[in-house]
Amino acid sequence: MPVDELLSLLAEGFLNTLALTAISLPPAAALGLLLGIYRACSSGWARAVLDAITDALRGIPLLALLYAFTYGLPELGLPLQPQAASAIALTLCSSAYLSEYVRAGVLSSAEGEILAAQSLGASRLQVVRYVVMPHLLRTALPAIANEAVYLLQATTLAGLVGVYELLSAARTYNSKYFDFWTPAAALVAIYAALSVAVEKAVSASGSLGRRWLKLR
Amino acid sequence: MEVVLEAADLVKEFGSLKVLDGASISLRKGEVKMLVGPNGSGKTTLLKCLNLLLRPDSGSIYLEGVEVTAPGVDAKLVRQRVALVFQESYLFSHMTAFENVLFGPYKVKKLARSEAEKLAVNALEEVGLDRGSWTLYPAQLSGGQRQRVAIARALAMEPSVILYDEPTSSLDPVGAEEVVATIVELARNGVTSLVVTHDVGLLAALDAEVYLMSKGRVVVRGRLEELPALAEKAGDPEAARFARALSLRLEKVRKAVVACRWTSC
Repeated sequence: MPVDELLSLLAEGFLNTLALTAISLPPAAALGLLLGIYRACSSGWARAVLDAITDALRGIPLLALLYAFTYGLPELGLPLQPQAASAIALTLCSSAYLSEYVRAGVLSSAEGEILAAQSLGASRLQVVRYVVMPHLLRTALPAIANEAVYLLQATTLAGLVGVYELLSAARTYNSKYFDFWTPAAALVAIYAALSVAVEKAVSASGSLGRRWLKLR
Repeated sequence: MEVVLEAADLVKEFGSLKVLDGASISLRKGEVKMLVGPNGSGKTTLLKCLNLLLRPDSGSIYLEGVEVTAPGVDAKLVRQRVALVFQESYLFSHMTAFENVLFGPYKVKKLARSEAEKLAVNALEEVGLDRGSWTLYPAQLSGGQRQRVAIARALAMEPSVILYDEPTSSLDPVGAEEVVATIVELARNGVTSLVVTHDVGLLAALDAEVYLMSKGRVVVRGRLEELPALAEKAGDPEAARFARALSLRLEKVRKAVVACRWTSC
């Protein structure tokens, strides 16, 4: 039965898409936050280097990055499975974009409060923990959620370097049964649901984080 | 009386711009001094240097006899003792008024919670914020209340001196009056203060000795009405003009107050 086959193909693709997103998103968020905060709050050569790396990562098309990690690294003696290579490429690319949102979020909203905390004698870590982070979890959260949804959808590119994700599964079905629209409709439904779920998950972890960061 | 805070020949440059060019001040324990000067004369930069938010390029700052500009001194510990109140209150927007004041002693000084709370309660009582507002967030407070919370946040650190940077200039008249009353009250209680302001209401109420700054240095000091002549004598006509304008406004305010008393309005 084509329907059974479609379901089992989509199930496999779904699991791979979900796995790739779940593996890439948390480190991307952590790295993006760290990078963004550090770049907003510091100066000197370390920051110049990080700025350059971020700009480079944002300047390279994600697909090119995926090719580099999947096909380029093995040539340099670092063989990686497509899944792992894709996870690294997605994480790096996403964290670069995230760090830009985060940096802008810190600068736009908290500058005065950072100054006030510093003037009280707070350490750099205290400033980040008690002033910058709570701000970010409010002001930059929509941008972070947006980037998370984008990362989810960018996993389709990993299909081009051999990760059997949702779109690849749909294409298998398509080429076997010459039926484009049935799997396409299924994909729309699944991606829409996943996007909402990812956004909700990010918002929820944001408010969880806010509660955790409260003065206790 | 013991000198609490002393700065000698502070120089601070931003690129090619010399914002401080040998500024010196001195504050004794319990003393209140005012600092006035045209825009761009370096008042805010001087305050930021005194708090070590900015490091002066040269010159020295002594806090209770110890040179804090010497190498190896932890700027954070100095900032805990030299409080700075900004023009905008810069309260932590995600904390209540009480948490804003608690933050310093509890998190920065790392005192025990009960001890820190005692300091916060005392500070908020000292600035006269009604208890009903203690659990409100900054966005729910009026401008005057916000600025008083900012002063309480400074007080709770038990600083050796409080530096005010135009504390009333972003407030409406009602808020400004509240804050003037608070600052005067604290000054009466012996809180050593250096107040940067152009607010004649605040100048009249504190009636303290005034430093006049111009082009990065403290040109002269004295009572406000003496400053124009002193600045003229010091060869700084621009500063003299500024001082004259300010003392004229002060004169008007004083006359208005007297007139008000006569007509009992």
